[in-house]
Amino acid sequence: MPAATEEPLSASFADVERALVMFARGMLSAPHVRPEELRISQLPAAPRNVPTRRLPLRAAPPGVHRSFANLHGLYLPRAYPMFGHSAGRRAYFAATAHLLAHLRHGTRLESPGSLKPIARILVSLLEDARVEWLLARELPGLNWLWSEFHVARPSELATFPGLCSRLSRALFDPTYADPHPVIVKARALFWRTSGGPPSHEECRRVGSLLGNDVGQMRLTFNVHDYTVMPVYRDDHQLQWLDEARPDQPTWFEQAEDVARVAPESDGGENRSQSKSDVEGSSGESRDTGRAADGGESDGAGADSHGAVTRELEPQPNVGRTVLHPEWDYVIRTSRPAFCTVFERRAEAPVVERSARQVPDQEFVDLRRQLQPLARRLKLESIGRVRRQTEGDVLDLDAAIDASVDLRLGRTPDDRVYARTRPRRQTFAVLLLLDLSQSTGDRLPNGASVLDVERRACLLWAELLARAGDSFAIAGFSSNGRHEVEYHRFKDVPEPWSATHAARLEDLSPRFSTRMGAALRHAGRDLRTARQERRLVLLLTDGEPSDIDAPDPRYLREDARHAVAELRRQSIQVFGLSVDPAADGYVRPIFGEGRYWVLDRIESLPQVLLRLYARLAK
Amino acid sequence: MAEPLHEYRLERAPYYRPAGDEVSLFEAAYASRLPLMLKGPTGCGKTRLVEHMAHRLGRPLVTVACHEDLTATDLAGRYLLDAQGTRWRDGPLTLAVRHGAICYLDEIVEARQDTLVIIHPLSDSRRYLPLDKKNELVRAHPDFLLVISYNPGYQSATKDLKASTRQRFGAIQLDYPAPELEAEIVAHESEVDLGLAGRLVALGRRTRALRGHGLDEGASTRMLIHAARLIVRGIEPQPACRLAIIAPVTDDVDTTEALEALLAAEFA
Repeated sequence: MPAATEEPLSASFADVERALVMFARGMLSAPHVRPEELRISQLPAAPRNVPTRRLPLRAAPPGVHRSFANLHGLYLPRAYPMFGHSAGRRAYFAATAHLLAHLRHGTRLESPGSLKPIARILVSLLEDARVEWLLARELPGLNWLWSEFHVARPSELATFPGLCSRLSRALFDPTYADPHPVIVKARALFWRTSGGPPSHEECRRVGSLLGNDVGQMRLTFNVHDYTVMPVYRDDHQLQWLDEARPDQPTWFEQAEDVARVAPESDGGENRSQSKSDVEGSSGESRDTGRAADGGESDGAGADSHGAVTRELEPQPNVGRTVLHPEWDYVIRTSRPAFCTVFERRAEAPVVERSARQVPDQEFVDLRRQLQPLARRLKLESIGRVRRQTEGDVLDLDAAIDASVDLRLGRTPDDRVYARTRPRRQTFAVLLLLDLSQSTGDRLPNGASVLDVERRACLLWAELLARAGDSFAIAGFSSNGRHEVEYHRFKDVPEPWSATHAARLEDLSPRFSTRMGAALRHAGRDLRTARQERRLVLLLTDGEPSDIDAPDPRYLREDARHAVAELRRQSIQVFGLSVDPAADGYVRPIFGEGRYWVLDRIESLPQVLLRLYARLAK
Repeated sequence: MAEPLHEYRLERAPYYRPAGDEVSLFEAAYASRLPLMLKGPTGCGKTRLVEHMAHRLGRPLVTVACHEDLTATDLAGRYLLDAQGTRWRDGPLTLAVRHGAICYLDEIVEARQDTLVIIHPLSDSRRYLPLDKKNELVRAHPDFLLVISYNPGYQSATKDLKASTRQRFGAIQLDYPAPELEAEIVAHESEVDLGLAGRLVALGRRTRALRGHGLDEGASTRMLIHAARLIVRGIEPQPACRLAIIAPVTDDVDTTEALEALLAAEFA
């Protein structure tokens, strides 16, 4: 660990986020993990007009850095500016471990009832000590992680917060000596049960007893400024129910709502806009699709996989309309010709794009960083071709066979040479992008999920093209079963060009995620590829959903079926999800070992290429 | 005459602690000469089970680690040139077939599909191995058994066994043992005390929770045993786990930090 003097910067949440999620996952290796325990985010920035006087249920005034948990997940401060880099990182781990202790060991939301603020704070301190002790019994090293932050001494100012810091330390650290009568009494009451801390209910009783004692000491205490210590502890909000304002969202929820509402209202506008675009450009093709859906199958041929094709007059931007079946898990059967997929050939925008096509510095850096990996890919696709009539080395097996034949008096095979040359291409991959509305969500750095996906996709394509591998790129979105759009950006036989890159520039998020139909269509695309091994790599940011499927299980089951159908046609399917909470649904859809969940979307370019390198091997 | 597969016999019984009924299943499969497929994550004891069973059944064990350049010739045998002309040399599979060994093809999916078809006539009722180069049909020795292992993990996302290969085999699914049992195994193999073994297993299980989230596979039982052996040699638990578990499983900075924090939580 570098010396503290070399660390001018403090750690920020973004630095540790990925490691924290993995840490939490490892901590909770128990089979039943609640999803909120793994959803770790940073606290939203404080809204401008924070109410200054309100019922203080959180033991940290606005603007102070304390963690927090609710039903949506764990929230950690944006930074611990009081620490240097490595101590700050440790504070994040300590805070995460503390919140997990609460969640694991049953801290419940309770009503403060008649408890006064002082007693309530003491109850929370006892509860903190209780859950930490229980978790540390399982993981003794946590004591070491937490102890760094317990720095209170008997010489603290004689204020209530000072006493609280000392009490926290006294309950945490058995070797800490403190003669304060309240602390002596608290320790005695806390450890009365031999072999362990008191129960959750007992903590409340002891806290309220101590509250009476402390109340009579007339210590300095401003309830609105009180800040829980040590820093890694949460602000107690997860324990106390706000009875005075049952409908009132807590400070955090307000802030969250502000953060959440803004992009959604933007998205709403986009959505209606893009919908009208679609109707304007392709009204005709949709009519045709509906007719086919209605069962008038004149001229439409059904292939062996249940898809019905209808060739259209060539039109700009429009390809085939294909009807795909969909699996209905309720009736346990496949509904034939149920989803209408419109193929769109994404056109390169006509406007001058010279400005946009100049890759920025970050892109160039990333490309440089990934080039070694791509070079490795290239080497791997070179193989030795044996039993050739001419070549640079003798093929030992063939030579031996030939001399065996000679001695047996048979005519030897003259193909006794081997040579190295690029192996004939045996691998074709189709990268299938989820273009649903949610990919327009903004990340903390201002880019959208789709921006990151586009950038990753461009790099991936560029490096693959350089390595000479075959690939296709397509995207999908849906607006009910009658309107699944499938955008073809690049087909397998086409060489990668600037036109393809420009097509990707024009990606826009819209509508929903009907994964099954898109997978069946991608499978159909790949079926004709000559390559021996074929793979659909699905990049998604959420679970299958659509406006006409209120039952979340329905499209999930359909996607699972689509994956199985493709496998039966020996087309493999691999899922890459950028939704950190995706485990629940990606595993059943793609199968064990056939999906990756990305906890941090920023690493997508590296991950995509690494994944490809592994799958292509 | 010396037994041809003498050196393939296991002299001492390899330690194997059954986690379920796999030993009796294996015995029953052997009794009816049903070829077996062992499935399970890396380092969970597939190879050890085969060794244990080979010893228990008193058969020599011929192991072949499969890789993508493995050809049918490598398995069946080839002609070599010598001063007198050519001489046939049996490959490992042919040896096992002729002399009644258990032939264990480890990580079978790594081998090319065209290589695998030579095991087809061996793994159904025909039980023979055609050596087309030598123009010989080797009838399997009555004691011969074919066992393959298969890890349905990420490596096989684009490689898979063909149905025609799969359907010739019975399969035993193995997994990492239950925590108490795994601790017992780690303690036995490394001579570390049971308490410490239990903590290593707890750490191992935490890393397995990261499968698919930064790790392709969590720490295997084998890795835990490696760490425990270092501890027995006087290395502190933290550096031992770093050497034997964390550094081998990942190169990624964030994953390493998360694993380090889990390690520190277990052994500070």
